[in-house]
Amino acid sequence: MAAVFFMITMALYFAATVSFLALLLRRADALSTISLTMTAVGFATHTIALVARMVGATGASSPSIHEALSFFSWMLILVFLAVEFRHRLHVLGSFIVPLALVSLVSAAALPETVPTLQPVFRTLWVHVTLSMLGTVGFAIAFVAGVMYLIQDRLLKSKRFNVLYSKLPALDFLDDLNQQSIVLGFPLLTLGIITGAISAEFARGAYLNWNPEQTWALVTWLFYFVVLVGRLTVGWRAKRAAYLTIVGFACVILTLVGVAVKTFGSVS
Amino acid sequence: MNGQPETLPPQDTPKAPGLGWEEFSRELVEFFASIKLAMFLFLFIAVTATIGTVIQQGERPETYIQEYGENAYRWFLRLGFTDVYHTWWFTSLLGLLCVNSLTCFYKRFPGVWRSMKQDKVSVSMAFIKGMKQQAEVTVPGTKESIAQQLAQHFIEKGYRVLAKNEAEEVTLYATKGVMGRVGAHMAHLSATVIVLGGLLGSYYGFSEFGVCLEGQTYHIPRGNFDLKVDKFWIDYHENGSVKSYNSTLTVVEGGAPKLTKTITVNDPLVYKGIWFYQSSYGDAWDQVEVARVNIKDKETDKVLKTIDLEWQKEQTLSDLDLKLAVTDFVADFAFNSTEKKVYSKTIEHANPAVKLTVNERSTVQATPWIFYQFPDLFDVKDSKYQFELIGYKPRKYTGLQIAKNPGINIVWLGSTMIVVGITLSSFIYHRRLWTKIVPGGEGVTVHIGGTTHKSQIDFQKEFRKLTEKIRTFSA
Repeated sequence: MAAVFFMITMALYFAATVSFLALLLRRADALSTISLTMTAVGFATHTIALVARMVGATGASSPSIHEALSFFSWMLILVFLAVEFRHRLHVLGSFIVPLALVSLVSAAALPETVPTLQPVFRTLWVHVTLSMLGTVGFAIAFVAGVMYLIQDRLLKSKRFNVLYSKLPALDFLDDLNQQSIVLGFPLLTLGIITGAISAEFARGAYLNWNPEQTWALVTWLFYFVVLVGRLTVGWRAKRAAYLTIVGFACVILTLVGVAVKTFGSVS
Repeated sequence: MNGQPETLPPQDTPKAPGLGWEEFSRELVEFFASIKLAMFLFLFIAVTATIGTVIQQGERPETYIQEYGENAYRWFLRLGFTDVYHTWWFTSLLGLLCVNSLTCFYKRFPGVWRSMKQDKVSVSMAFIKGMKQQAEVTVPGTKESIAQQLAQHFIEKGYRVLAKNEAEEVTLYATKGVMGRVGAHMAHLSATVIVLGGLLGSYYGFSEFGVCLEGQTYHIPRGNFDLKVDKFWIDYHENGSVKSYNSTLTVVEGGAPKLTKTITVNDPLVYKGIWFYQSSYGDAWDQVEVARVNIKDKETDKVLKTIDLEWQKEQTLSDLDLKLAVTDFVADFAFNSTEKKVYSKTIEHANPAVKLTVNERSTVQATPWIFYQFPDLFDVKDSKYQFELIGYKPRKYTGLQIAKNPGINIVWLGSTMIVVGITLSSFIYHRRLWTKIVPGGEGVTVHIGGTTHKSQIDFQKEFRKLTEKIRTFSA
């Protein structure tokens, strides 16, 4: 049953992505209504799919990379809907929903681990939730950075097309970038620490420098430098935008590390 | 994180140019406390940590030579790339980071501490007027009553208030949120604490994997006690997959049992600082519980009997005039021709074989190895029977991770510090307000000025609201 809802969700997110991307090119107001409705319905089916999966597995679900990515996608949409509700920023959807779709498709492409538990994974839920929340923060910062650079380029080349009119002001995007990192960073810190605690109780070693842990630390160090750079050295918005994009690459590498760990050799 | 730099204490006398120690040490402190150094170190550590994910760590030389070539491998060795996280230079980078954060703490925390302790109620009017946020409000009333209302308002907003009532004026000092600055320094210190804890664990700790069989007692030399595996079992789900695996362990010290606990994954046993984790389990490679042997008549090739032989327990079959026992087992048969010894090549059950002790009619005595995958390989001369190994029940071992990490509590302390520190410094900001209430005209004039360590915009809003509030004060 979870699988059915999962498929429906993917279809809806796909349709929403198409509609949202069209929103960047056309002024039609109806498009935003359609896009939002599809996203909202997709979110509902996604919620059902996640809950069904959690209930279906004996007791609690095992957080494999499939669940993590699906959960990440779900949270992205949740945050987007919340921001949309408060700020009515439709265009944000044009960037976030495709990202959520990519995440969900990746989740679908990766095989689900056995729904029954390997004992070591049960306590990982706290760690996964916190890390994914942090990742959502960085994803939003990434989106804000991308939008900033696009807007900046449009301004410089004086192409005041539909896309330009839809994108919010540079200052707002820069602020969004900053705030997202400020929120995501403590969550990532907690995610790393809870991951270390889980590893300590499962393996007796809180840090053994496997790719997953190392990339998480690299991501942490990187975003710390970005944060500090903004506050003290005074890195301006454009540089911060580029850095945020690089930082998100680190985040993706961390997730790759997790995927390899789950399906490759156990380190 | 810190926003505004603290001012340095002014020099008393102009120093002559040259390398005076005082100037040098000050520059040294500047360098080591600098945020640029910190950022550089972080990036450098990040890059070198990445090397460890690109190049496999701790592999055999052959693996590296195969993938990168011998020349590259030599360079790896020279630079320590095969074990990056334990090289002296990586540790030094971490050490430098500690020096950096400690120097920063040393340089800036005294200022925060002074700020916390010092209560500058006595300030001049010029001081207030010179502040970035300042305002002047005239309201009717006496200086005492207005001061009272203002102080009350401050207290309601969570400020700490100090007052000085003099003949010509009342001065109020309100401060709030100094913990935000403490938070930043706590986070600084935490970096050092974590690194220290990590290094401590690295040098004085150990981690080993123990293959342990049910019923056996193992001596733990580092703890000077024995560990007995009372029981090991696996719980299954209805569909047959593994639910959990558990071991009941007893610590025996000085001959007496001290502690018994059933451990499972994520629920270890700890004694004398040494932790025993249920890590894995597997099939033993040098013994079995039961072996099932077919006894075939050589001439007719018919199976005469199928018996289950328990490990190293002889069974007598009087009707066949036979005594059999399983005395040895290897999971992956290999023979060392120089030492003339049988051993198990791997722990995988790739080529299992049992050693049978055959005593037939008291005349034929042999100890052949019979193979699970090659039933016809060996045959006992003079024997009437052919023996075949058709199955066996492997003995399960419990895989215990034995570890001691003396630095771990320090690492957890540092982790808590960093979380608390980051939270405090992100959400709490230090702000101070000075007010002078001077009687004049028909009431009093309230001169108010304030400063904040961070969050200028929020403070501006708050300041505006404050001045509005003052206007509403009654006589």
